[in-house]
Amino acid sequence: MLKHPAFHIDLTTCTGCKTCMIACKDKNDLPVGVKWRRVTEYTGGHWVSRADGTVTQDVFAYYLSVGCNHCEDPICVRNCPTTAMHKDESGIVLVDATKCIGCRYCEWACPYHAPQFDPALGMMTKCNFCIDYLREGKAPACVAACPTRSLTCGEAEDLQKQWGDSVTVAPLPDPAITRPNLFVTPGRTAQPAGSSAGRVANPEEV
Amino acid sequence: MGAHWPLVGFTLLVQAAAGLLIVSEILAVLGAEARMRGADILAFLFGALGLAVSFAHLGMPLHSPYALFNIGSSWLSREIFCTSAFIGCLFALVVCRRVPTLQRLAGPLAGLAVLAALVDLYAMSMVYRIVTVPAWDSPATLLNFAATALLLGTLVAALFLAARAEAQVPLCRVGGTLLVLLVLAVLARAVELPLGLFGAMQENARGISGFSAVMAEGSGLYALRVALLVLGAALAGWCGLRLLRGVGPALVALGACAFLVVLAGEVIGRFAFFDMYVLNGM
Amino acid sequence: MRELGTVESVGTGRRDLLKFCAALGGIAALQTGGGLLREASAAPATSAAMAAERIVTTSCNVNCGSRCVLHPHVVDGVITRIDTDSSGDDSYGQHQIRACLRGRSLRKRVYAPDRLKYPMIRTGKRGEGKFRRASWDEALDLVAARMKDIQARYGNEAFYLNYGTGALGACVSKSWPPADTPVARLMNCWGGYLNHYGTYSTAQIAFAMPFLYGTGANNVAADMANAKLVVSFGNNPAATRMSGGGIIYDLIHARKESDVKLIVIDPTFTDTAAIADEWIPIRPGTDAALVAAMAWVMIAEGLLDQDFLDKYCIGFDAAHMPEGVPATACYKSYVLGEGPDGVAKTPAWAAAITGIPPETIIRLARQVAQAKPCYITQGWGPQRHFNGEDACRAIALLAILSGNVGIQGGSTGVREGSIYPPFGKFPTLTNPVKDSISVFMWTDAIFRGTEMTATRDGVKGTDRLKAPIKFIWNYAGNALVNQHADINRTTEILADDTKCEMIVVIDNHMTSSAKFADVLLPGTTNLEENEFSTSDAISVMPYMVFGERAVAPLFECRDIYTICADIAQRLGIREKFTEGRTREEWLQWVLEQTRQKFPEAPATLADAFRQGVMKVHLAGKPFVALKDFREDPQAHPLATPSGKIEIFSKRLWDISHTWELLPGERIAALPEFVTEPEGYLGARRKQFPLQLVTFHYKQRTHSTYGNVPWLKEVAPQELWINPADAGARGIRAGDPVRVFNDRGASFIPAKVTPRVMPGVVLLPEGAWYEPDAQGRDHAGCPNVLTSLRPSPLAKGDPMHTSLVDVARA
Repeated sequence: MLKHPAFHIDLTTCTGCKTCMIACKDKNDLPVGVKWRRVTEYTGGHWVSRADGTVTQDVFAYYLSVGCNHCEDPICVRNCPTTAMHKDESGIVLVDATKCIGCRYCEWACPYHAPQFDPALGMMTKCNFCIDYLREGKAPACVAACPTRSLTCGEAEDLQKQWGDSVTVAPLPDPAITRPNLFVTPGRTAQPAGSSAGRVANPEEV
Repeated sequence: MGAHWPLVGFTLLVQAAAGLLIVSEILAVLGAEARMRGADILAFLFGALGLAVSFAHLGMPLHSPYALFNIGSSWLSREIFCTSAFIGCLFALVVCRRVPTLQRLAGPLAGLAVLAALVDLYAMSMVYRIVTVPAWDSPATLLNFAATALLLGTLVAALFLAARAEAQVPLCRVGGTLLVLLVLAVLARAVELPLGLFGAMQENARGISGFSAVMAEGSGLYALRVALLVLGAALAGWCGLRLLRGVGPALVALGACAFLVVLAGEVIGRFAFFDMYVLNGM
Repeated sequence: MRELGTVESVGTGRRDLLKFCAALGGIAALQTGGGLLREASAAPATSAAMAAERIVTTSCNVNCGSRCVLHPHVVDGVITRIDTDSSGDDSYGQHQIRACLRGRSLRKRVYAPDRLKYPMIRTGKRGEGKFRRASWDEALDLVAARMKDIQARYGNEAFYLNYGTGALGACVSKSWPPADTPVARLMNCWGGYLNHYGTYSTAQIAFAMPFLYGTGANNVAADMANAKLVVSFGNNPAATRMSGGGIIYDLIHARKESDVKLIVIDPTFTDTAAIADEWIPIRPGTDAALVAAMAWVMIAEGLLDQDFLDKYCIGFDAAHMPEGVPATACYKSYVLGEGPDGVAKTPAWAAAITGIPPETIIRLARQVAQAKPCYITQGWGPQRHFNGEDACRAIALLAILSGNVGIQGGSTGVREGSIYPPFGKFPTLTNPVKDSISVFMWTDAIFRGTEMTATRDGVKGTDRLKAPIKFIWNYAGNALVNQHADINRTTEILADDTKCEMIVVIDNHMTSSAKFADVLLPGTTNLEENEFSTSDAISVMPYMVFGERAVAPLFECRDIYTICADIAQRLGIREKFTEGRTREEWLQWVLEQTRQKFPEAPATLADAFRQGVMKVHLAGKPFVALKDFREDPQAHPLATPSGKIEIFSKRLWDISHTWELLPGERIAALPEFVTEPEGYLGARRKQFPLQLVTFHYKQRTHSTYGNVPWLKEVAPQELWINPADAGARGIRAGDPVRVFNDRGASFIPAKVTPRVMPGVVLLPEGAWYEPDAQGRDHAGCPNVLTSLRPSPLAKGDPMHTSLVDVARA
């Protein structure tokens, strides 16, 4: 099992197919409304119509798949009143279902929308890095599912060696807030974090 | 709007309890002890009801004792602890004042309860100081909660005062103090409202801000909230001035109206506060 | 231990509940669908002991152009999870065939509340959706009786197998190609049926390419790695070939190998454009104008591969024209304005049509001409137009002008090629009836069948149809309503049961087509069957999947072979149909056929199921189409009359002089730009100013999977509209809008996005038609807006040539 698991996403190849989302829902049997992994579409650019009947544009769009980044300094764990939200020995952030009061305070704070309230359970649920799979030496469902091999995982230290410090692209929040275990390879049109060049274009889907 | 009603109820009731306790204890010190009799019970009822209402916000209320497990790092845990401590103090105060053998404890307990109320107000505000929620992560939040406590506490205390005009008290000092407190509360609100809106201007990656979110619920509603505050405070102030001139019981009905108008404004304002929740995230 | 308390245990709890429900009495207890489900619990009694989890191998058999490996997890006869291929080390060439989001959601389709559960017979007016439950015997007796009656009155030419691709890629339970289905075998045993040619996907390109090349082949996508530039026209494999074992992964892998630059030309910033190097937006239906202007630049700047044109082609210039046509009918004359229209196809001319600035056209022409080899590919979007036969030939022409045909890293400019595994075929015998109509013309054949002729309606095999369509078999298809054009007109034609007298629908769910059945038969999904399937579009690793039944048939569902055999019995031809074999024995028979071509294939069903997936490793460089022809055109001539690439087609010239065409229709011998009555230059645009393009959407494979809530959640149906067009109509993101023309209207939320060019709106195809009392759709089904008027040559569906307007709803 990984000692310090982290995710890596390659935006040069991610096509936003959302297979990771459904593989996650299937593996964890999640109802509609509960999304342990979300694929955000970030889109921007403008069009100019010219007198000759042509158009020019600088449109861009890219996708960013995020589950839980099992942050080094998780704001959800910090804020959880019960300690139900906790990091295990390998740094995976888990919900202890015997303690969670379903106050949704973690959900309020997490800039990645990782904690997801399940109304049927009355409790928070979230990505657990498929810890059962990790123990069997298998990849998490989302990683194993990725048709374009854009989403991978590994030891945080190895990923850092391979990909460098986590590059943050819009619309990812400032990594200083929670120090996510997420490494991103930006694509051609990636915008820097905090950029206002684009918008989250699919708020209803994430 | 609407989904946050348990939190609206909880924060308003507990803040009203804190305000009432603080104001009534100040007035008691100023000599209106007799007229303030029962205010502690009402404050306790407000607080207890507030705490009860908060359970409706929880998905798994049965696990609520665990909410005290993370006082070391969670302001929510601290808030729950402080609120429980405050209401516990209130309960003890109510009991001590009414059990002859315990009455000597009432003085120190009153002081403790006031302290607990102040700490709780601070803890409640810190719950909303979430770095990823710019509309809340501002000093305006503490000012907001303090203004609520002072407004509601002053008005309820004033009603106690008005309802018992026959009791001999130095009306001028007490009434003047109440008026000063009312003016302070209105001033706090007058600072907090623009400060809060200003802090809510920052757009997130989805192109929405706390400001745009609250305006999406209805800018008219927000205007109504301000109008109710102005109307209620003016009415209350006028009542206060009349009270100073010795016109007591006749003003109870009018004072109650002022309270209800201000309360309505506070309810709308608190819903607006929760509507301003916009995550600065993905 | 904290672990016990984590949500993992909550999840397990759900599965425990699942087991419990299964033990209680079948899948009915799992469903929220209501009465019918509870009434018709069909799962067999489960053993008292909780069986261990069983993981089987099967595939996703839908019409997406890929074929993914699925591993359903089965606990006590209930599918609890669906994994995909995770075998091996995933090295390219033996890589994992990872399913897309749809395959991963398949159990929600199997257990959908709207599963058809038992045979039903229509009680209301046709299309009302009113049925009564019937026994299999009653339903099949009725089908057989109506077959005999209609055969006696109209002959076998009145029977039609409607296009259906809901069960695709399989061996026995397959709905496409129609001639390879068990229904075709049944009909062939009983006198035959009216054929159709073409598909809704590829009608124009499949018809047109033989005129140019004699074939539609192309280099495989993996060959992009050997190119210096990839130019993709209307091709979005990120949505149309989503499999992690299919074309999108071939493309991504090729670009990882070589970092080849990818330019996407499309009205939409597609999901493929999201990973491309450049996006050039183009107005729908104007690709041929862009190509003509690029040719003008290549001619003007001497960038043509003149040697290639001289040696391998006819029709480019006056010196290489066939006998009997004017020399000025050549492509060069057309481009330079020396042809009949007298218009020079300059970049400025094309710019006003395509919306692409002239400087971009000039740059693109130079890039394509100078980057040898250049891999030019097209999807099936450009051809699914009223002028699609011309557009697809024009795009291919770019590969010809630049001399990229038949070389490594080059292409024919058609859609990327594919390699198929050696596999046996379930025999369906020969259709004694040779009459054939275009796949798109069956509604016409219902109400004016005997008026339809070869030169007016593209009828093949006969000069004139002998009978109108009176009996429709609609197996695993939704083209009866949802996927056909102009739904309001189509349902009007279908509703008259004196015209088409009998419609038999065999499907899994209550689709909009199923509602038009006279007899509605519940079929099994492939997870309820033993079934083999083969890879679809793929570059270097064809494979076979030996799918094992995951669960027993739900309710009273039956597989198509059994249904057809039982009908054959009633027609007195059971022996002829079955040849004494059960369905499983036919699978064994197919295995034996396969082993004759491919001895490594497993010998028995048990071996096959144990093996699960068989990947064939192809060594060497990726496949190059027309390589032989390029190396030696004399020894390996093309299947064209001249044996060469026919830029000018004398056959098309002749057709254009003999066929009866309606006003606004033209058949061009050259791959030239032909205006569309409902295109950007059409007069109708004054009334309906926006061009509507439908596109393949991750939520569905056409209409399949359209009833899965998970997929609707992550990829909702929306109308894509440019901020400029939205702003002009007061539409903001998420607003409900009405998209409409004189054929119909659909209500749908708007996605206001710069990803679609101004003047164009997009609606993903396949959403399940939800009409209100006025026939207005509320699901965003674009076919209430599309036209039944076929393209002039292929008589194919012009689904991307529709003009509409949009208003706030």
